[in-house]
Amino acid sequence: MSILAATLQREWQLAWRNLADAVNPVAYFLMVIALVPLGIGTDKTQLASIAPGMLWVSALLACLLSVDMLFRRDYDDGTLEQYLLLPNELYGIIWIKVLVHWLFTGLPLVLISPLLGMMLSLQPAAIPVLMLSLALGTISLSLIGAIGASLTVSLRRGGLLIAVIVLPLYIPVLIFGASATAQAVGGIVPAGQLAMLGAFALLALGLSPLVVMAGLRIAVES
Amino acid sequence: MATCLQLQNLHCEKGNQRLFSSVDCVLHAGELLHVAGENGSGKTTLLRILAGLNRDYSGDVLWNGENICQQWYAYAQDILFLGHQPALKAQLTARENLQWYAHCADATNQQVDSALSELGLRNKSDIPCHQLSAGQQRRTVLARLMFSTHKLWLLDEPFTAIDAKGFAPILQCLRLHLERGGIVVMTTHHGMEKIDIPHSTLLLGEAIPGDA
Repeated sequence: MSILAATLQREWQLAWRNLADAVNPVAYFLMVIALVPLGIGTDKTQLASIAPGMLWVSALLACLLSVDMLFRRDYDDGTLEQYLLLPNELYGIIWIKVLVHWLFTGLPLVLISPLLGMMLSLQPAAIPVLMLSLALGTISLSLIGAIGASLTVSLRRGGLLIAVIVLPLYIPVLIFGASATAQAVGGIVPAGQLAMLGAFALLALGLSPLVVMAGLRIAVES
Repeated sequence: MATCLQLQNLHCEKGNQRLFSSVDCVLHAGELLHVAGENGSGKTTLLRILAGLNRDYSGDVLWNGENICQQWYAYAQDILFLGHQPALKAQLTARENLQWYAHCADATNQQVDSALSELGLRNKSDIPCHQLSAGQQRRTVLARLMFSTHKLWLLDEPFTAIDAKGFAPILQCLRLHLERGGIVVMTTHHGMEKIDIPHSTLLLGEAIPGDA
């Protein structure tokens, strides 16, 4: 078994044993969407008109909430130093870490989104597009968030700083994701927006680990 | 060129304060260097420089005659660094932790098991690490030495919280490593008199630079 396969197995085990970390973003997502009808009123047309934006904004913030922990434990227990001493594998290790992180934080948001869509009276026809756009979008959000996490991991209180670094980069994903869902409500297949979300995800999959590598090196050397 | 670690005119500052300067030292295959000095004299910093985890220094570190910054990828495969932090995952068991390190060092699971039993952790190997005592955790970290094939060991306070019973197998392991032509650089505050291995000492934090 290669180092990367062993890393995947280890990250998987760790994710299961730290399952409480994965519950937080889902709980946040659920709470925000559950509160919206209480705050705005139960007028179905009104809810349906804000549903795509509401779902996307709260999913994005839920992602932001979880990303801070991505490298925190590795930094605290010294594992990060050991990762940096595997320079040939570092790119792959970061890739695997973010991927497992997405499986335990991004993917649950995607899976729960149909239910939350129904709570906001989103048209059933738009739900597949909502899920697809969230799936593609949250991959980008996790990978972009990893950049912020790597730059702030050496700070004790990086919570707000990570938002300042990462939110501007999240905005294109939000715009295309929310507009894809909104178009699907109108009965149009938002091929362009989904293609853009896919392109963002591919770009982030390739480039984000390179930036994270540099960020982690700075964090450990300081 | 034979295995050889050279420190040339190393100088390091931390926040405008000089930690050490003009540190010169040559280590050949089979040699152990004990880095000594008071608290805050830069022992850990020196080890982190050697591990490539601190690049904020002047001077050169040469491995087999070439600067480590220029051959970082090759050099990193030759070193084993045990720092202050244990680099163990608290939620994983000792065996699970070591198995990952074994993969990184091309060792087998049998080697992990024999390392665990040699250090007296055999019946503790399936307990999550956060339930182990400090000494047992330290033993788990040191078990990595047992199956390491790296040429250069950088050990920062390896014997913290280790009792006499755990000391002997580690010492044996160090001896074996040196016989095979490895190099060890270590810091320790206690137990150096118990280590009956010929070694040189580098004293940091004094006006006179140490000799090797």
